[in-house]
Amino acid sequence: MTGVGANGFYIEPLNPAHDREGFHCGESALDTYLQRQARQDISRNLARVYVLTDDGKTVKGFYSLSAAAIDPANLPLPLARKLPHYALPATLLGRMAIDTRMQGCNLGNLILMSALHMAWEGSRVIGAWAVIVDTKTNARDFYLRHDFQPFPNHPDHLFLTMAHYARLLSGLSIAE
Amino acid sequence: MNAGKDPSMATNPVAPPTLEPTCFTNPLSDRTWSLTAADAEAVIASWDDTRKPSEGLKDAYRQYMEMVRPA
Repeated sequence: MTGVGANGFYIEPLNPAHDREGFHCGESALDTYLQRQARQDISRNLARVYVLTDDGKTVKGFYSLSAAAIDPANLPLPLARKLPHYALPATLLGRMAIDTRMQGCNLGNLILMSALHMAWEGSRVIGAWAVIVDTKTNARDFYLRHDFQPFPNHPDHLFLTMAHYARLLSGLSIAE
Repeated sequence: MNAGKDPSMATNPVAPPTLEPTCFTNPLSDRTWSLTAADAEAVIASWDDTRKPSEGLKDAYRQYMEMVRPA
């Protein structure tokens, strides 16, 4: 799905050859997720986890995607009427991190764009309104620079619509 | 007296460069999401949104295509 680029980086689904223990992003919960939980989530079809690597072993960064549903319950009727009667479908960018040794190499751009592209491809098969992310506060500006918008009442909850991503692709003459 | 102290130096005139974060998501981000009225307004507004992608997003996509995806 994603090939080797000019710098030798590629993104592939997490597999047993990846050195998960060697990955450290500075947030133990994210490290532990990759090391202990990610493969379980994959086997249970709860998430798909993708790894940025340049040798098929070293994990430079990773992200996870899951189907998500946003509950529109308890809204005032005039608003509720404008929304679907079911939960709003979305793709959750649940985990995203890069190794501390790669900090400053702009690898965040690469894995974010991979995640958006993967989510967009998925949304062409199964509808999804947007990619949503619960950002760490210090990473919020990173997402805003990439056109994410905040939910007004949840400033660290951000979204980027699939329609906006499609406009990016069509503007660059990439979309089919 | 603040002899010798330049008030303009009260704040650092040259901010250190902001390093890219390494952790981009809340580690416990799998909680149920629900919409408040203001959130719902933002969702509804997004359906009519015609903003053009920013240069930041375009640059990131080009970088992605160059460094990860084959030409």
